[in-house]
This record gives sequence, structure tokens and C-alpha cells, in this order.
Amino acid sequence: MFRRILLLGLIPVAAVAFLVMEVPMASGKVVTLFSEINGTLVNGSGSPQSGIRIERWWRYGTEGDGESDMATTGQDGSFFFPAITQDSTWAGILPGTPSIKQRITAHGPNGDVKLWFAVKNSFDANSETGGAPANVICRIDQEPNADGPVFGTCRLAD
Amino acid sequence: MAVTPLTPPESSRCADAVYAGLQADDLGEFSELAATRLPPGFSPTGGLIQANTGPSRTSNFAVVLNRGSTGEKVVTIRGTEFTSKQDWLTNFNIGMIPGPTAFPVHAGFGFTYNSMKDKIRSGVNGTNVVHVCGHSLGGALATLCAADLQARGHTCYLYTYGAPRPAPTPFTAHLSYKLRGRIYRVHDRGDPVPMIPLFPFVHAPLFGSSYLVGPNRSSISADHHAMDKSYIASADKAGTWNAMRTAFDDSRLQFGPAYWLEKAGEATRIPGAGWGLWALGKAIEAIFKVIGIGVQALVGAPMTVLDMLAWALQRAVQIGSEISSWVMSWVRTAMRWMGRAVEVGETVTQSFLRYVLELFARAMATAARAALDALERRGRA
Repeated sequence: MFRRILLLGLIPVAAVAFLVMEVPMASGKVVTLFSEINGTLVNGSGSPQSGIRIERWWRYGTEGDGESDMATTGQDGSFFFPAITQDSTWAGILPGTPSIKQRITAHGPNGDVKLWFAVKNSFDANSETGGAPANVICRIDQEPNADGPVFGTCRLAD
Repeated sequence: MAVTPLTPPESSRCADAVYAGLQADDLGEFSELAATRLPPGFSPTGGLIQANTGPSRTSNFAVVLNRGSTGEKVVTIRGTEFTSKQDWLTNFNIGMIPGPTAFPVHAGFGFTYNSMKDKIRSGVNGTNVVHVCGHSLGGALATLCAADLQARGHTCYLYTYGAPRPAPTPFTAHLSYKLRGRIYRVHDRGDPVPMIPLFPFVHAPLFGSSYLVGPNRSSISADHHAMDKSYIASADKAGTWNAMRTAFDDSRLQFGPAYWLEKAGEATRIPGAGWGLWALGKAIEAIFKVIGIGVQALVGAPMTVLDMLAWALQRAVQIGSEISSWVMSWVRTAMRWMGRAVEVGETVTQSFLRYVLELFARAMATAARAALDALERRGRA
């Protein structure tokens, strides 16, 4: 009986899928799991912090250990992470909410600093920053807080 | 002191922020992850509330918030996570079980709510006014939660965004009466989720206004279900419930059986036209609405859902010539849509109707299962 009920329950979902499959984007879509980050690491007086290892970590869904990559700040304190994207068959078709956990950590001389800590619930690029490009200035000597686009020490550059 | 309902921006942001809880290890981490998403003055309390969406799936689903220093609390519940097959199976399980007010509710929503109700009750213990928010699946769970807490003596306010239909009429009629004037249902015309499951499931409030955003949309899209693109944007733009309210122009969905049968018939002449399935579903729903079959009688019958539908359709055939012609037309169109050439006379038996319904269900289930399997094979996205 359960199986029968389950089968019947699939009808409206299939209907929804078929309905939206008529939309051209149903052939596949590139989704953004972590948007491109153009950052500058500074201290409280605004001095750039060079040679600092910056680690980016993300996990799509709730299973597994996630993935990470690294960057090192240049002489001007700059660091860059490219966008993490993926092809998706069902994005834009199935009406669920994606969940990507994100963290950027600076491995500074005085310990680790949480620059960026967020959950991305959209496949859109730059959804973390309300649609604006993620050009950010991050502090290495500040307690992380919620004053920026996400929890951490990063703020959108003017 | 008079209670002020949550504003659209407040309730939509509470419904959105709880999604961060899925990834949080504890309440402290949730506080950080949700800090930029919660409305000002709202803070999490207690702990993360988990729910079961299957035998092997337990995950964070809800959070209780303090509403500033008002002494009021907010229960906010998340919706379907994109990569979670178990979350999807919760949506699919449309049998019925007794809900928190004893009236039947959608089984998937009911099982999931039952798995977290004790922690929610504990989280709002001693609080008079409780606001309950949710988006998508979370909106359906919020509806059950509001019914539960109201029955336990709390004064509840309910806010749902893009929620599916949670239960048949008896549950929603009771809830609509108990929470009269305190239910804020927001849906987007282009959002497919509030359109499912089909009859006999209905929305609350059963009578009165809902809040329709995107009233002029001409297409249905998963994007119109998204909190950020649709609901938060609309709530922020409106600011107040009065501004949010629009005339509930639902004329497209109020077409009768003849209209939907015509659309389904057109679809069968276009190979692969997916909207034929939708039109067939709407046609069944419209037929039920016209004949006004007692949902309570259906629910009380010791039959499976397919048997219930077959019985109801067979009764429709017996009721009148016009209704009978609609049912027969639906059967012919459905069979044609499934590629089955069959001669259908002027009347049909319940067992034949059940056969057609099962074929219909299997065809759709196969397609949906293929979609799910592909989703699982890809692992992610």
C-alpha cells in the first residue's frame, strides 16, 4: 500500500518537472557553489598583509568532508579565488533549495582568523553578496561579526 | 499588550534564515551562519531541532527564535534541501495520517512533523504568543506546527511562503477557524509548489485572502519558488501586509473541467507535451470541486488513495450526464496520453477507473523515479 501511495505521490512532482522541462534551460545549467572572490587582507590600520596563506573550504549538501583550495596574499595583500561551478541537470527544474557551506580562513602569524563563514542557498553567482561582485577587504586582526555581507571580517570594497 | 504580527520582511527572513541551520553543528554556529540573514532583534534560543525525513535521514529542520524583548517566540522551519532524496520522498508520501488536531493530514508532512514536535513544544513552553514560519516543505510543516501549538493553548500566527497543500478540508477548515485572521499565506503565481499535491489536499486559510506575488507571471519556474528571488524580494518591496495584499486573481485556476480537458486533449496531439499531465490533474481536481464529494467521507473510507479516487470518479459518473461526460472524457484523454488505445463506452466500473488511475500513476512515477535516480547518480546537482 505504501508503495502505491508513494507512486501516486510522484504524479504532481513529475507534472511539475515535465511542466518546466518545456523551458529551454532544462537542458542543463551551470550552478555556482562559491562565487569568485577578489580580496585584500589588511590590518586595523589598513596596511596590506602579504604572504599570508588563505584557505577556502566549501561543502555542497551535508555529506562528506567538503573541498578546499588555497591562495597566498601578494605584496598588496590581495588574494583571489575563482568561482566554483558545476553543471547541473536539475537546477532550475526541481524547486528545492541548495545548501552550500562556505568558509575562508586566514592562517596568520597569530593564529587562524575566520574571514568568511556562510551558507549559500542559491545557485546564482554572487548570491552571497546580494548580487554584487565579491570584491572584499578583510581584516586579519578583528573578531568576526555580522557587519559584512556574511559573518566574518570581510566587507565589500567601495 | 496587543500583539503585532511579524511584517512580511520579518517573517520571510525568518523563513529564509533557518536554511542555514541545515549546515550548522550547533546553535552557536547557527547564530553565526544566520546572523546576516535574521531580521534585527530576532535571536536563536534553545537548540537546533532535528526531524526525520526517512529511516536513515535525520537533519536540522527548525529553530526557535526570541522576538526581541516581547516575550514572543518564533518557530521557523526549513524546506526541501535540493540534494536530499529523503526530503523529496517526504514530499512524495501523500497518504494520510491523523494530524496534530486528529484530522487527516499529508502523511509525509505528518511523519516529519511528529518527529520534531516534542522539541518544538518544549522550545516554546511557557510562551503565550508563537509565530510559526516556513518556506516550501517548511511551510507545510509550519501549518501542522501552528495547529499543534494552538491546540495546546498557545496563540499562534502562521506565515507560509510557497508552501504545498498540507491536508484535506477538515484539517484546514478547523485551523482556518482557530487562527482566523492570523494566517499569512504568500505564494507566487509562477511557483509550482503551492499547486501540489492535488485534490483533496487544500491550503489554509480555507477562506479569505492569501497574498499573491508575481500576479502577472506567465510562466512556471523553479526560480519563482526561491526565497531570495521571489518571496524576500516581494516582502521587502511591500513592507506591510496591506501593501502585500492584492486582489486574489486566481481566475486561471478556476476554469472548470471542460477547460482543462480541452487543454489535455490538445496536449495529447503534441508528442511529449508535458503540460498535458498538468491539465489532466487540474481536470480531476475541477471535477471533484464541481461534484463536491465529501472529503471527510473519502478520508474515512478504509481504502487506498487510488481506490478512493476511483470510487469518487465512479460516483461522479453516476451523478449527472455532464459530469459523467467529463469523467469519461478524462479517462479517454488519459488513456490516449499514455498511448493506450481503448474503446470506452458510456459508463465505466470502479475497477476500470482504478486500472486507469494506476496506469496513470505508474507512468508518472516512472518518469519521476528516473529523474530521482539521475539525481542520485550525479550525487550532487
